[in-house]
Amino acid sequence: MRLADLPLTFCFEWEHLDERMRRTVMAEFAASGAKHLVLSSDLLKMLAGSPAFYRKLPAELADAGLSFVDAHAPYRDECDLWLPVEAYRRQMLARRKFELQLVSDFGVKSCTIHVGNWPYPGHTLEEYRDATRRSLEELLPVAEKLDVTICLENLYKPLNLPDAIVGFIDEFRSEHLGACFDAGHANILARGGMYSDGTAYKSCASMRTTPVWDAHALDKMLPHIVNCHLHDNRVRNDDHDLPGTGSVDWKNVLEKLAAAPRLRCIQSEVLPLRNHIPLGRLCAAFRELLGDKTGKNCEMNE
Amino acid sequence: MVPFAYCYDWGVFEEKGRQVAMAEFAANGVKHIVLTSTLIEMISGNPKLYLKLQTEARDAGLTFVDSHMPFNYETDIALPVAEYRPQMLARMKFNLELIHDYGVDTCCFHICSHYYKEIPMARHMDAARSSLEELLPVAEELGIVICLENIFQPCNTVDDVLTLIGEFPSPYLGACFDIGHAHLMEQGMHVPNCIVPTHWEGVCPVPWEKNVLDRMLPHIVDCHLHDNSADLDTHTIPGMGTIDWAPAMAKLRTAPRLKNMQSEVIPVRRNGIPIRRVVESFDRLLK
Repeated sequence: MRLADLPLTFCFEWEHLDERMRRTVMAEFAASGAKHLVLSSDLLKMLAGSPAFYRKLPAELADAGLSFVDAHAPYRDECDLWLPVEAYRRQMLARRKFELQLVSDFGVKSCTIHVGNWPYPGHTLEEYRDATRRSLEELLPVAEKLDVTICLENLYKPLNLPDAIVGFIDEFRSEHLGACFDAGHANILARGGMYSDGTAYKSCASMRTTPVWDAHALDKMLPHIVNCHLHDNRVRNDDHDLPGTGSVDWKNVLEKLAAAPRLRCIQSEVLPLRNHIPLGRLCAAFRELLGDKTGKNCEMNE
Repeated sequence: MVPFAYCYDWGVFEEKGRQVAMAEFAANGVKHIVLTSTLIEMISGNPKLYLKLQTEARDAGLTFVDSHMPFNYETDIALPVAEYRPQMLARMKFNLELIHDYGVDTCCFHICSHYYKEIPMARHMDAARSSLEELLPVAEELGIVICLENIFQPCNTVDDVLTLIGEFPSPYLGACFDIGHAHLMEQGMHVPNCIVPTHWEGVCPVPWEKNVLDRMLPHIVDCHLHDNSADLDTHTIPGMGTIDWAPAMAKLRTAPRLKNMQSEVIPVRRNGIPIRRVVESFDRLLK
């Protein structure tokens, strides 16, 4: 499989923009050759909170000549799958079902969902695991009905590690459950041990635990990868920077991803605002990374 | 005396302003505020606010009583456009969960805020029926009464409200009596520049109404109290318009299903009225 033949989608920090700027940035993406955007957690929150925005967004997207291909559900703040507090779970599940409906309405077929970010002191790992299972039991029939694949993403906390994600996927054995391989997070999990003040340590410290380092995330997740988050970092922090600016072994990542049997799309999860990256440079970097000589994904008007 | 709750235009405030306004309500003796459509949209779109808003209200010494489902376009139960209905129903189920988590047991629904003139009225009403079939079991499970509101627009007349309530006999379906809207439909035909006819252009002649409160009385579960002069839907304080409040309030108190009352005065955006003045006007009304 040639990665350049898969749809390439771009993430952006939309929550910082008003409507006019959003339209301008969409046009800027299109002018830089992008065809597809991510229905990001920012956008899903805006859609959930504003029926008017639900009405408006399709036109904004169409005017820019763009479409959504994959999605990312909101996370933290009482909306993670592992939420163990019974009093909050019904709203979380109703929120997740509503988001899956929104994802489906925008014609998107894959949605990344974090197993869990937010710690709930006093709950055991088994309680988090049980809560995650119960969440998936309730959400997978909805995902199946809407034909949306839920993709679990590798992070640093327990139950977000590659082994745990593959464990959940093996347990449910559903074509509507897969993995989202995050190249930046995998880089940190492989090499982060030397940075005691780094992202992985900080993330785990909130659960009074330490990271379980793993240099084989991609190999373990490969058979299940449906979408992926490509971005680079210098290991200490989760920079979400341009490929080539950090220490991700891109040759290895791309060669292996090309063999992922379930892979449907490639996502830039570079954060342009955080890293002050012009969109033209972003699109060109991914075109070069994927060896997209056909211009299928990033068609520059040269 | 049932609990009395105050609506406010929370959407105009940042967090600090919201906390100040809550404190201002409490300082004026208010105990309850409405979980408004704006607040529900804010909680829906901002998971962080889900717990934070409850804390803010608690810190101010307020509780939420009564709620209002978000409305308009693709958000009403009478939405007749098939492709938008699944999101509308998923949104409402999610919002009902939020309402329940805030300890609120009544929610006002508009039947139809946006009437699609190219689609017959009967299809709007069939869509409303279909929505209620799906939403009432959820409301029942959560112990929330869905209250259909009388408005001065197509598919929201007293006949429409009573028709749906009659077709779904359930303790979890009732009426929200909006006294300002009733006044527009009862007196608007006598007032120049009344806004009502513009909502019926291209649909049918305005079905002006009589005895709205009497007709809705057996089914009223919550109510929206605000004044106007039968021309515009100004949502101003009692006494600033032409509603005859004394007989209406006396009758409303006899409504057998009434669970709460609501000030639906819109103090900031439309009227520039201080909280203190709003509260004083209702204190006088409720004496």
